[in-house]
Amino acid sequence: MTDETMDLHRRLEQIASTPRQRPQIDVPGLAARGRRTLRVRRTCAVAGSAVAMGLLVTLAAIGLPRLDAEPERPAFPPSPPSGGAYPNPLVQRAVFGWLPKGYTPLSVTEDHQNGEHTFKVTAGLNGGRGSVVELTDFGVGPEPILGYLAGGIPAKPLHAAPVNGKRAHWIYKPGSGYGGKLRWQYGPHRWAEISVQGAADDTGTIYQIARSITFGTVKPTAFPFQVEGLPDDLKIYLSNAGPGLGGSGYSAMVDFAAGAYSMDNGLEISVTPAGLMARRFAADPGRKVTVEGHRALDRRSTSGGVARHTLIVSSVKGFDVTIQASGQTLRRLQATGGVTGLYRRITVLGTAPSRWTTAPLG
Amino acid sequence: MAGTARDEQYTAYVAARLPWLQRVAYLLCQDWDRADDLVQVALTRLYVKWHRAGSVENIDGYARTVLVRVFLAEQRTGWWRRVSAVREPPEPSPDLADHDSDLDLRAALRELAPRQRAAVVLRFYCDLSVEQTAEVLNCSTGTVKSQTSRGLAALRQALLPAMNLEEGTA
Repeated sequence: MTDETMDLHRRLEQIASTPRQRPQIDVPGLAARGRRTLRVRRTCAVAGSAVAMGLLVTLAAIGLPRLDAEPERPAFPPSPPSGGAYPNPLVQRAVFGWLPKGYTPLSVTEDHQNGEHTFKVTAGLNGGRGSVVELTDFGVGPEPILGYLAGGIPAKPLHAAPVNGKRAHWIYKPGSGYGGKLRWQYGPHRWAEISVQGAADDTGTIYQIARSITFGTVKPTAFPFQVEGLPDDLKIYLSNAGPGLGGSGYSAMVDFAAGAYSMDNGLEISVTPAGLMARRFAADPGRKVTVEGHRALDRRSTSGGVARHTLIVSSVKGFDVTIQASGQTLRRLQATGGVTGLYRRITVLGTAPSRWTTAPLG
Repeated sequence: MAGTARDEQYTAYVAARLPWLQRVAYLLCQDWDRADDLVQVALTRLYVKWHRAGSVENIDGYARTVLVRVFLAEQRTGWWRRVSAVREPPEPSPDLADHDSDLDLRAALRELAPRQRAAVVLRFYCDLSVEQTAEVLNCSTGTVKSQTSRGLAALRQALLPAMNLEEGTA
């Protein structure tokens, strides 16, 4: 290293050591965001298109947003009746009325994290590979923030024509390479946003989709499993269902917690297409066991005073079943047989959507 | 849901190396708020790829590569000029206590093209070899040499007046 480059190194070190008032990054939040990404990928990681077509036809009849569906009963906020102790965890409160040719439903998500209550519905072209439309209904409340530019300057809404006579603005204009994102106020204190990636990223298409959306639907999603005997004081924080990218398998998951949901406290029940989770068994340090005749992985650990238990049971009527619990929520489950006991109270209903239930949580 | 060995390993690694990644990001973009954005995006990707990152010998190198590529990709999309997703207004920057020469260097660095800046930071701050830098930037060693050479020349040129002034007043 020459004197010049040594000097440059020293001075770069000085610049990089410029003091800050406090760190701005929430490490557990990063892990949570990473987990959400993995969940979406898991939901999306499915294969085979022939099965998907049959599945989608049936889904349109019983659960997922129908592209041409009319709302059954306009009401907001939704509070659907349910046969179980818990309400349906994933009530579709908005539907696309029109989508570009070839787009099919991919997933629906209801999110109660961070004190919010957002609903998302996603559709895509060719199973969503590269061309996706996502609608977010933010629920009742003030308009969510747009974000901040570098240096902490608040982002400004960009002028946009109204949607069905309601005020709207662009967050990203179409054709920018980042995907158009249009936000509008569809009712008093009710905001929605549509974001488009790929083929539909033009102003006319985005407006046609936005104008066709019906809000206020109350359509409980059908789940391919039913759970009995859940502790009665859990809160539902996140739920997701759909064929996902590729469009041929079906995944569904519900996250709960006793108290505040966090990386150290919660319960997740999910089903994914058979074989998806089981592929990881060989490399996983958990115990390989047999549960009710099915290959399973049982992983238990305690660190930092937090106990965790994961059970993955493979190939149960066409699905792999995953249960993960930790912290206070795991302790709540122990009184009723823990994670394994909970698994024994789950009935997987098979891959035929006609057998699924809109009251999955007993 | 959390609760895996993956989360524990990841959290331990990030907690230990976050300040270093923030410094590298700051040198790349010259803005602490944007540096945080870059690091958050990079670390989220690192979580998703943790099974791969955890099996490599040099996790730092893997994380640094992800970070630099996030930086370069966002230069291409212009995303950083539009919005970054933080809920609260960031704190105002603290008063800078740098020497004038560091301010000059900071300004000169900012004037470099993003890939030149990345090459300079990787070669002279991270002390990577030409070959390692080429791997991170996904380009040839010849390109690294030319980017570095031009970057250094631009820094020298930008710093020259200050140096002359210092020499003249000495």
